[in-house]
Amino acid sequence: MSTASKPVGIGIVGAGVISEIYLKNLSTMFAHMKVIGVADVLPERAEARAREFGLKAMTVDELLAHPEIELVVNLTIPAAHAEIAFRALEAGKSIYNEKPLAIEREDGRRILELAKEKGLRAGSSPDTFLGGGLQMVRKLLDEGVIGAPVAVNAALRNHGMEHWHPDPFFFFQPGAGPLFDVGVYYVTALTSLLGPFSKVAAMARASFPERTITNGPKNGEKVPVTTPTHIVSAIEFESGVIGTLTASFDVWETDYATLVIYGEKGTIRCPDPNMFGGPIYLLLKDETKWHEIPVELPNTENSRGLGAADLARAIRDGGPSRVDGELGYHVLDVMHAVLESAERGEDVAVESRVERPAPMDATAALSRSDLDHALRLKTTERLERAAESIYRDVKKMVKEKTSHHD
Amino acid sequence: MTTRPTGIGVIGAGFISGIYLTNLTTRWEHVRVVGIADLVPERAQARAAEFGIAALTIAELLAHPGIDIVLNLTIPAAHADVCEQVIAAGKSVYTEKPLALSRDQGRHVLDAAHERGLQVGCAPDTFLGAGLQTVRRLLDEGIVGEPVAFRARMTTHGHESWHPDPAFYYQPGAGPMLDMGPYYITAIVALLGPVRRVSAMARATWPQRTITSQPKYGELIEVNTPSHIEANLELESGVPGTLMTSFDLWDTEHCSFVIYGSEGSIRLPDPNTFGGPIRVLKAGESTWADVPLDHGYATNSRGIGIADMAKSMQVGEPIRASGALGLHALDVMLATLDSAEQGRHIAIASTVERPASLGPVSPEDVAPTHTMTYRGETLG
Repeated sequence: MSTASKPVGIGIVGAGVISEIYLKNLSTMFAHMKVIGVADVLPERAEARAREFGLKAMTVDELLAHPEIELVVNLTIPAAHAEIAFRALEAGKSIYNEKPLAIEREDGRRILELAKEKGLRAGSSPDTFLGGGLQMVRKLLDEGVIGAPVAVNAALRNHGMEHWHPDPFFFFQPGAGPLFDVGVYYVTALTSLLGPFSKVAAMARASFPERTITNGPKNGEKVPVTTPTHIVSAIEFESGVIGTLTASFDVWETDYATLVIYGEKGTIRCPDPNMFGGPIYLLLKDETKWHEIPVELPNTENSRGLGAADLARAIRDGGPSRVDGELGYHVLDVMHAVLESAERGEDVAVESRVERPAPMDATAALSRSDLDHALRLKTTERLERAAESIYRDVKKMVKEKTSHHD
Repeated sequence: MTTRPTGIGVIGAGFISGIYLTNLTTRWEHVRVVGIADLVPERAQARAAEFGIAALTIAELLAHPGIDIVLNLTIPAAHADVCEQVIAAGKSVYTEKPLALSRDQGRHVLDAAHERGLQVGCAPDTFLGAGLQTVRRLLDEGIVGEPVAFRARMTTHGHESWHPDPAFYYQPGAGPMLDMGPYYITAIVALLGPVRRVSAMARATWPQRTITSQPKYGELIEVNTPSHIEANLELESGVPGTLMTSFDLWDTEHCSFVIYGSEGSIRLPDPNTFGGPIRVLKAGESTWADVPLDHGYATNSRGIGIADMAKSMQVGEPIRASGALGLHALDVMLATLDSAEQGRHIAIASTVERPASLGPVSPEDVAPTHTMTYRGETLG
């Protein structure tokens, strides 16, 4: 087997809750990568996960020194993202960070610079935009089904985690809050669909200076709030599209994940960008009824790891990765700009720019390298045919509407 | 105490005068419409005949000793001038929204009235309807706790597909913010208090629009004001919110208006209407419950603002749909456009007291009637 077709060796750092779905997916979905070992600051946690998935438990040092590991998937807490990334890159490994890429812009920039300097790859989550749901939205946009995008309504609204999460302190501190913790999915999805942001104008506050835990062993404990928990921002994209982004842990709402893209010829209600699947609804100009658009593209289940898989593919074929650190950095830049705008009471220009990542290939999501044969993604010609027939129907609807009205 | 009914004179006999006259001539005994004037005498005569009132010239109306308040239903560009003429003639004035096209004009009207001891009232008065007054009660009773945030969205695709002469909607002084913003901002201020700061972005998606209604089908409209505005509003209480007004979007939900509180949320009715529906989500629950309206004036009650003004002047209390409220709403609307154009957050210079709630209104007031119970006092 040539080096070019050898599976990319993966080391997992961080054996917490999220590692389960990553390990499940990375060890079963993708033949072009092979998980070698798992490490954690708590050795018992690493050992438990290692046993569960038939892997080797390692210390972080052992993992970073392991010759077969080429890509480190960093599932530590956000505050540790940058440090583990630096150590991995220094050790000659590429890095894929759970979101966010880093907490501070400066760390994010250094991760990208170090990777470039070493000829390695750096990428980050979220990768939900590679799922079938948001890829279907991408396809609708690129096909021009709603014409040029005009405006965006993005709003995540809930009442925080203290009534269900056993240990919610983290969510109410800098580096988390509704924007960094959940808004990151919205900002990433919007960038991947509409291109980079150019300006934000925000207001924010912590409506409640402390929260009370109402579940689990810490029931009744107070959680100090040290970051804004209700954030509203006007947003502008380089394309001229404007919109609003709301991120709140302070409100009671049943419509908790809103992402709507308005276009010249219609409107798309996108799925929850924290998920990989649908539903997607389409309203065409002058119509009064929303059509549900079936999502017949792959990766609609919880496919966390898809981004790491794309990065591994890029490591082998040398092409760009869809989850490149430039995207993660832009998202980090936008989130900081929003908080700065609110704090300073002024509009803030977003300095960084990034290209929209390439859409997933409907039939060969990760197949541009010589690993095609080994891919086990559920992508078939049948799915592409189904997708094509939906586009035809939608285009027909649009054509009928426009010929009737123009 | 017996007070003679307040005499009202109407300037402007256009479309909107119909509902005002219907209500003012039938629903309240403490006001009496004396006459109507218009630049086009035939229009005034037609309305006068329809409602059994006098057709007057503007000069006659301004000189009429039986008229205490002039109802100004002229076009927006004439509002401030007409208000000043009325005040110069020694009468109080109630004007359709907006109070003026500029802050200076608006302030000038209020100052002139103040100097002469006269009153200025300003539409909209939908916040005195059953829907928003019921919301006011829910807030005052703390049904959803302390206000935390609000979100208001007015989503349309403009008016060129139905309005016979829609060009004015896309000119400065209109656009979705100045046309519809008054309803939303007045409701927000009436319910949650004044606005302290705004930041906004705006665009005109199409530089030209095509009329698809009759009789001007196919004509082009030059768009000279933003037709899509995304604004953040911070209230003096610290409560933040968003207000989006658009003529550029395709959507089926044309009004979305929510007040979030510490103990629940209220979905408000369209603030361009007097009725419901109102829905409440209590903390921790997953379904919204309908709340019945418990105030009067659920139907189109345009005119309640001037009726309240007349009553307040009779009893010497502050008027609710006041010129100060109208000036503040104008200030906030213009600030959103300035903010978008200048790319900066803008502090709002004007402020206003939250108008008093209308208080409980007796059930018979829900239907048009000649008897009115008002703040516990039976009139007529």
